Amino acid sequence: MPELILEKRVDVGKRASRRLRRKGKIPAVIYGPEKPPEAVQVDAHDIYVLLEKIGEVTIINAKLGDEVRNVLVKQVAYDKVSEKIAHVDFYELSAGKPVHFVLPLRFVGRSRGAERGGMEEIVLHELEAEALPKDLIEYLEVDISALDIGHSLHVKDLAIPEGVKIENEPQQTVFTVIPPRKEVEEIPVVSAEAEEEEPEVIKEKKEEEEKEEEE
Amino acid sequence: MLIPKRVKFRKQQRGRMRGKAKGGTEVNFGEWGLKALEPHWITNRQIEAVRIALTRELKRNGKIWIRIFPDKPVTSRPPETRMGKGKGAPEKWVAVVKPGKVLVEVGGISKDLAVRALTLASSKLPIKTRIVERKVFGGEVG
Repeated sequence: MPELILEKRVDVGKRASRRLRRKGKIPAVIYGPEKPPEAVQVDAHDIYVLLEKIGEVTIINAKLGDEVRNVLVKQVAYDKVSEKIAHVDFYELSAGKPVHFVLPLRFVGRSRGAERGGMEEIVLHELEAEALPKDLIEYLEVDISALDIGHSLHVKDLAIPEGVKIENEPQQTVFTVIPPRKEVEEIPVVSAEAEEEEPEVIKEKKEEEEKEEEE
Repeated sequence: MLIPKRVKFRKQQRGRMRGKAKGGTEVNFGEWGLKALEPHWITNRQIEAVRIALTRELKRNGKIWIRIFPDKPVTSRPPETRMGKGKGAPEKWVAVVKPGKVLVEVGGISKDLAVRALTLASSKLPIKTRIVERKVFGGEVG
């Protein structure tokens, strides 16, 4: 089980968090179904290394002072432009309490349709799921080798292990094999002078009504 | 080329492009995307050039998602006209892009091909961009 060292965070808020990030730490929060949220901080290098290794449902041994807690990484907030980690949410597991989690799908094999020239399309990369901590699985393997061109795999077709409840609609498409394009799509070249049609302007109803009344 | 089907008003004011993108900052449909690092107006011609560059490079493989839409009309005055006499005629359609916006996404192809195609596509744009990958711990925040 991967390990991570957390420290208590006293100063909270925007300014304190910015100061923290400048020092090479990342502000974080730890919460669970039975405990109130606690502000913590984690070493930036440690969290970058950890996130490279783990998935969305990997249980981590988080050391906070003398305590060791079993946590999941619930959410990571990234900066929109620099893509650096801005904040991390840890979810503390509690035996007997179901956890809502994102179950990643791993597609195994190559579909029969793809071998015949079809194009594989992943529609859903992950499922929304709920399970008790003891039933958590890190990913779900989906065998796609039997799929031919035009065939699709839906949520209801997946082999879900016992104890895991999927919250997606059963009819939702997960994976599909699209027929091959017969010809390379012709790319229309629009000449610079070609004039575009102007879009229709939505007139207000009132004006039309007024005109009608006048008539 | 992309233009709106119906609009409420033919002309718009220019507006400002302060701050970062509000949404659409993560790769959500494909596996790789092109992220804007600067604010700019991206015209429908530039979007079309990006689409053509991607389609040509991907040939018959993979899928492309265009995440921006040019919904803003830009007017200009005819050359050698004196000032006044009202606002010019709509000339082109642009998408307002702020830093952090994912402009296009590709999926169903190898990483090498995706990087090659997106590099070509980025050269059609007037801004700096970065190639980004779908995140494991996703979910847009803040």
